[in-house]
Amino acid sequence: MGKTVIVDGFRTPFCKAGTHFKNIEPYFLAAMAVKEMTQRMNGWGMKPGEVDRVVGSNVATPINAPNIARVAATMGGLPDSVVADGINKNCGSGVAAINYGRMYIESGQADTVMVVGVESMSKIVLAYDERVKEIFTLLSMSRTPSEKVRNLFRLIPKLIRFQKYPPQSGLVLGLTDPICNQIMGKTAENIARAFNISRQEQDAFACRSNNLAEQADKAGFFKKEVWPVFAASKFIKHDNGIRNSQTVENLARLKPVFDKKYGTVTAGNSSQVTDGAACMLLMAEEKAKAFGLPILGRVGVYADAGYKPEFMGLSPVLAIAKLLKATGLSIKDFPVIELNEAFASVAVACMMTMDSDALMKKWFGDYGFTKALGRIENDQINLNGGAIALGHPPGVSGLRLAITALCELARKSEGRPALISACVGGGQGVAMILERFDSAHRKQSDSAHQRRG
Amino acid sequence: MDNGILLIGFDHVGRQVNVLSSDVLYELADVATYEVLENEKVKGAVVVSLKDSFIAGADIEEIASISKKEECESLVKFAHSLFDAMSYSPKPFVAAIEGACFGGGFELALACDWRVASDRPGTVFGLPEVKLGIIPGFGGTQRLPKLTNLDQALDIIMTGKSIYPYPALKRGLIDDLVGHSDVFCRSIATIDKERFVQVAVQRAIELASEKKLKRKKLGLGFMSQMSGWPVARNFTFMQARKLAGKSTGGHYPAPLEALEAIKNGLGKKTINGCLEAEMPRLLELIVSPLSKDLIDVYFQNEKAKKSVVRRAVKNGGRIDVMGAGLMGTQIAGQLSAKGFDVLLKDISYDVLASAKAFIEKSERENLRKRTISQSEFEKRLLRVSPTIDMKSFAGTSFAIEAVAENIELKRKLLAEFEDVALFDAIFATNTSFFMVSEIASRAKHRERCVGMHFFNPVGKMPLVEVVRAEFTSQQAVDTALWLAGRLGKVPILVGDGPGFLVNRILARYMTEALFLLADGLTIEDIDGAAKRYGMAIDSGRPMGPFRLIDFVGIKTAYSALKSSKKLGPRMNAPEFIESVAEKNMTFYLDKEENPGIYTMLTVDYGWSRKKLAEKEIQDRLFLPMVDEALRCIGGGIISDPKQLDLAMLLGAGFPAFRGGLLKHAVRNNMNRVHDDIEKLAFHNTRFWPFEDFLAVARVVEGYYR
Repeated sequence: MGKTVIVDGFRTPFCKAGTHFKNIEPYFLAAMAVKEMTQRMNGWGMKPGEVDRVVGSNVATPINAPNIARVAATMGGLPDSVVADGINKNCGSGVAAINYGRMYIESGQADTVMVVGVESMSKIVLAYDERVKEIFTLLSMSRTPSEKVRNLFRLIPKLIRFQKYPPQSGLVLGLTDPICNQIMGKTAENIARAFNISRQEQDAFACRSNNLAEQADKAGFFKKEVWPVFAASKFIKHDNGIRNSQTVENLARLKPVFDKKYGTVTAGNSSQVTDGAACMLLMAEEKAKAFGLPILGRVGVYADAGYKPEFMGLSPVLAIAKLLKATGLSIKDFPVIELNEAFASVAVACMMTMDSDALMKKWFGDYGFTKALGRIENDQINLNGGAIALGHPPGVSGLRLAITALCELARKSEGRPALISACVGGGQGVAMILERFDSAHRKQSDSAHQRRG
Repeated sequence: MDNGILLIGFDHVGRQVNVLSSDVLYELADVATYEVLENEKVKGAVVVSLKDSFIAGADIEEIASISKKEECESLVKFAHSLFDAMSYSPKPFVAAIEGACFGGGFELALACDWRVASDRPGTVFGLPEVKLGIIPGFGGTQRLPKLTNLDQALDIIMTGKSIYPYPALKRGLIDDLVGHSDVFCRSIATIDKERFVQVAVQRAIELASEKKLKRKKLGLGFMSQMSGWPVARNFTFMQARKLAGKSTGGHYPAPLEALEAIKNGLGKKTINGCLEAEMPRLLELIVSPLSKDLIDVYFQNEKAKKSVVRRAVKNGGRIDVMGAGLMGTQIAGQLSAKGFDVLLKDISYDVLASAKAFIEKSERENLRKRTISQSEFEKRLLRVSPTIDMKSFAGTSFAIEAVAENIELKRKLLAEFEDVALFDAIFATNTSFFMVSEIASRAKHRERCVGMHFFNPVGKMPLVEVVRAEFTSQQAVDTALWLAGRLGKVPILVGDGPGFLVNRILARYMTEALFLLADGLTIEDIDGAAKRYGMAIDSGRPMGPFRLIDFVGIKTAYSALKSSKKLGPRMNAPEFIESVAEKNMTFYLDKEENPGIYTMLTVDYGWSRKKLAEKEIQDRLFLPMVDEALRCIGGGIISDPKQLDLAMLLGAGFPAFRGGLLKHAVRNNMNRVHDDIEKLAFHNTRFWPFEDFLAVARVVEGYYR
């Protein structure tokens, strides 16, 4: 362990779908990020060709670039010889991609891996109804003019009657889990109901997220992690999803989305639909040291877990439990915890469960965990807001958690490690430990090793 | 070959490209007569080149050496009879074209029965003869109108423009367009395996058989089709004549002669048209001094381009540009279009945003015109990486500085650059007001500093002055020359001095224009005289000095004039320019003169209307330029007067038909020019000629003998 370091990482500003990045192809957004990373590498005296491979992290696969990592890598100025492939683990993609890159490095197959995450939810396509699609196919296959005319006349009325043959939103389809046939918002409602999390509690958490993000943005905390992107004739420097001076009263006015009558999950206490990209350079520790590179942090232990799809929001608890068991650390050891706020109810439920023996036993007894993991304090979790305020582009969120956590550790000049975790649609959870890379910390990590040993 | 088709391969030994010199023509005639026409086994022939390009045209050196009509006449007659025999022979000739196909080469292809082209980049067609002051001489004016519509033929011949394969197919210049693959080594043994040659052979077999191939319909509009109808013809010619008159200002006869040749040849048999309509006009033009001048300019241009040393920039081909203002943006855009990675630095993201937006806009225009593909468009945008951090320059090996014209700012930037950059990184400054030695005065490594003076608009102006200060290293100079060449510019190496070369000579012209205005002439008088002299005529937009000032902006022009004051009192501009610059006035309001200028002049400077003969205006404008040019040569800014002429032609719009600033003066007799300047100097001492005028003039004359 401790052989892979994160040399540098940055993300683009997160822009709500349909705003600044709406006209940018996702591969172009990712290519810009790769380009920026190569320019940074150039500044450290590294050539682009020193990257051994690129790992992509993307969920809504763009139709025109199925292997988006390859397109981004090559267009972004890496040599053709650099191979690229991608990871898709829904919202856990980013964290999984870091782990995937780390596996290449620690197994000795690569020295330097670039991880690039991208998501353009603006560019998700609209899908035609199956019956209409069939006629389209027939039309394109028809040979004689009479056949063409016949199929055309069959097609036109169906195109006009939206009610009967509705085009389907790719976004909604993508967010619906076919295993339990529930859209993600529904699973959040399930959790809210099962844990009796009130609307007020959820709104309060959402409000906290927004206020913290606003403070962090005003204080310039995001400057280190956000790289300004040129889009729509200007440079976008700030996340545009943060609702400034948000109050609980404002949030209370919103109507529930997923269960319109009795629900508690609103647009205000869910994460946003967002475009963005992030890029990270992983490297074998000895190599990074030999180059004298500015190292952001070190990749620690990773754990993931499978759980019930309809309660996918609880799965981080299981992943964290596994992680803590493997390392012997406890929640208190992490000054910074980044838990992805897919929904406020999910985050609140996770924290509740981790703090209570009874709940752990109830929900995770079957998985072998019956003891509470520990209480997550307010000054540990999501200190600069989370996905509710900034947005949740699934392929990028994992990378954002990692970059934000490391930047926060650096800001606090904290020697202890950070914990990141995210729930994954389909009932999985991911968690990862990230450590700072400096001499002060090395002792700390050594002592952690000893404790474990 | 087995199928009875003969491949005629052109491979001009000892040359980079094939040219149709007289030897080549005689050899082609031998092959065509004995091997094709009289050989019964051969059913047809395919003409192909074994080099990268098809045939780049006639041998220009040969044209340049022709001094008597008779020498040329026999050759042209011979070519006509050969081409005529080829096109009327019962056996088909097919041209298989890949790469540049210009002038005589294109006329050869026109004489063939069928033309197959490959779509490899670099395949271009054209009849650029008018650019050299002559007209197509091997039947181009006769055969082209028969292949395509009249208006298209006129357009192609009278402008000498290049036509790319897809438009060429649409206009009927070629009959087949075939996809390409890269070939590393081409030889007569393997060329028949290449796709476009195979298609050509196939066409030749088809043409030789009973079945007759039909030419495709042209992809042009109805109006274009109508232009060739007998009723509309005169109107078409009239339109073309008007257009040519506008762009040549009556100084270049070739386009009009080409038009006459086409007009007279219509309705005649091709060979008669060639002999009666085309040849006499060609012979007239080919011995004219104007054509010789234009050919000389062409040679100088080629020479300047070829003088560049081949080298590569380290660091993955990245060039860094500092300053995302007007010039920086354009330079960055050019660099990215030519495949360089660019790091564009400025102090604020707002400036960078407008720079990126500018580049995106101009490239989007290219995309719309379909000169680049979507992926090329995206790559070009991606190549320009903006930054606001000087530290990004750490790994750089070549940086171009194009920040605002402020000496302290430039010095500060250079110091910051030296702090982060490698010791051998080159610093090229795109200044026009300051000397390289001024900027580099406090540099740690002075030898890295070189000047690279681009002209605005960078995309259109083909000249780059590469400035070598006395301390500049050879490597810096070579790299700057190389880069300018890679950008498709003509680099001219000049010495370090205020205004370098072009701006320094132009400063005299501008100053004098301002004095003329102050003396009571109108803006229209002065601009008109300059335009009629031919200034900027070759760019297609004749322009006088005041239009030019408006174009570059009064503030810039004023600062340029101010900075050249170091050269002495002759550069002092009249006082009123200061108030014009202060009020940021323009000399023109749209198309009209700005009355505010006259009001200001009358009120503050007692201006009253006077008149001068046009000759006198022109003398006062252009004679000081000759004086200044000789000073530049005498002062070691540049040594070769031919290069100076080229620089003035490309950078200042001095008309090509006059041969060049100094060549024109030599032709008018330097002693007389000197006397004329002295006469002017009796009125005002600012005209006083350079003391070594005549001595330097003797040297210059030596170059033109």
